[in-house]
Amino acid sequence: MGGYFTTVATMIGIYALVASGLNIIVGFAGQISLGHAAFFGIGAYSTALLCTKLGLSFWWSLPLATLITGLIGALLGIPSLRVKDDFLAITTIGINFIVRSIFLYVPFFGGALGIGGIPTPTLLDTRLRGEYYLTLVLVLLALTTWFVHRFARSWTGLATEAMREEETAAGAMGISHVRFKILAFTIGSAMAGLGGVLYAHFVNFISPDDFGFPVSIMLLSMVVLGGMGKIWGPILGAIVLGSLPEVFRPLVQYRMLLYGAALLLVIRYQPQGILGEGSLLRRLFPRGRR
Amino acid sequence: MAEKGMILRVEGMSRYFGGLKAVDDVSFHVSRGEILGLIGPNGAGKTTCFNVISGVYRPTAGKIFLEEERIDGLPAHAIASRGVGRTFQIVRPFAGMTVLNNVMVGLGMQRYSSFLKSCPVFGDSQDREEAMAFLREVGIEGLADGSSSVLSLGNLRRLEIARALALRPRLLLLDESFSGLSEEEIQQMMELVRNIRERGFSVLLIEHNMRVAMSLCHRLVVLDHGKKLAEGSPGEIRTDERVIEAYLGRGASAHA
Repeated sequence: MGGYFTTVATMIGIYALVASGLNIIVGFAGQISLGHAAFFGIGAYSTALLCTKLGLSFWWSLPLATLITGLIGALLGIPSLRVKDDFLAITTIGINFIVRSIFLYVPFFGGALGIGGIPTPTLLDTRLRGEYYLTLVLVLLALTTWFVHRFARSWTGLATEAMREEETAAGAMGISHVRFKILAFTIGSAMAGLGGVLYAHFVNFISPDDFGFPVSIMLLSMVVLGGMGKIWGPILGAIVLGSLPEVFRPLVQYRMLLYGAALLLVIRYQPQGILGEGSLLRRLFPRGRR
Repeated sequence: MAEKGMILRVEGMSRYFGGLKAVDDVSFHVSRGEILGLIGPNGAGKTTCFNVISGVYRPTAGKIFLEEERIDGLPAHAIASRGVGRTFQIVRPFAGMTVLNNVMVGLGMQRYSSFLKSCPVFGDSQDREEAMAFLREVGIEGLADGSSSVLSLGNLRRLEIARALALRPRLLLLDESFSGLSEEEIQQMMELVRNIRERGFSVLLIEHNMRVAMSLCHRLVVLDHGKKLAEGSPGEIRTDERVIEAYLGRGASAHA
């Protein structure tokens, strides 16, 4: 495998993980979030600080940074209890800009220069680079996908979907919207945090612009394109949107145009996403629910 | 202390929306094993009463007791988990889910109340059987695995009842479960509500169809402009001058 392919595949794996987290919030709980990159960034900055300032190893920092991001996600999920739909979209955009500004303007977070020297993890005296790191990302992606699968098939998952479909009726069924919204934000943010950790240790250097609003848009596009509320949706979305700019690379300045056109075509002709209910793929292969 | 045998006691309940007194100082009770009908002209405050009792709105004033426990001001999910099941006048199914899963959601309060219990895979055979039993009771077990978004209105109303029964409620609130149904469906629905009562559930229902309300309910409470106008057996209500006037206007009492 070439280094270029490995790098692209690793980034796709990381984005698939982060987009799967967003899918919990947007797809399963039905809470629009346009600020998911903030949690991606919080995970990356947490591990960067834990490793460079406290000298923690990657293997300690990974669960810690994931946990920290999950807790911050729970806190920043509180607005979803007060505002809905368009207003929640704007609030989450705001969260994204605030978090990015904190990284940019608080000297502790390294300012515009970001944080460098984030160590590459080692396992059994082997530095995890290239294919090794890709394997690590894919193993963690598989684990989180298994987790999402279990979540979707648990009563908690069912209750979360019920809340998405009809919040008032769900309340009449004893489902506390506070509990399940905050839970969705916690799980979704923790997964973004995990993705952030993997990103930081992959590129070894992070700066605020890696976690700006355009990244949030890209993540949401992955979820929508693949199919909201479908376990494999965001993963397929990440593969498609992650590889399209590479496939179109020879076209230089036209590649973003084609990227946008591909996105528009899906939204026009497959509004439920490539893996959504009633999509072309589902009609061609009717078996294999979810 | 609530009197023995009372499931629900409402004392001086009011709910204002700005200057509008949607429900104004209303008191009544539901006895154990009773079907109490809440009737009144459009805009009388019946659905607002339901929304306050079930916790969708907080009461502006007054007290609500479920048996001995005071429940006014609690959030909707807390009231539901204490045993108040309800249906909606404008049906609210979980449209993206199968009919069976709609009912499974209602089983949760019994079987998955704690966080840890709610994490394993749900929908084992015992769950399925329980949920199917509720669907069988309302007569739509044949539609269990289909999507709930394609059901007819009559079946949606049945689904809402099955879903509410899955909570194993002490009190069932039915908000116009008969409206929009055919004559045949109305007969079936009346049979269903009678069966539910015989199984030991207490029922509070809102009904527009006088014939249904009169033949189904043990007692009736009449609301008009947010106030309680009358209370009594169907026989008493039928001949009550004030009720006839509220419904039909002055001079109509001869037809009752």
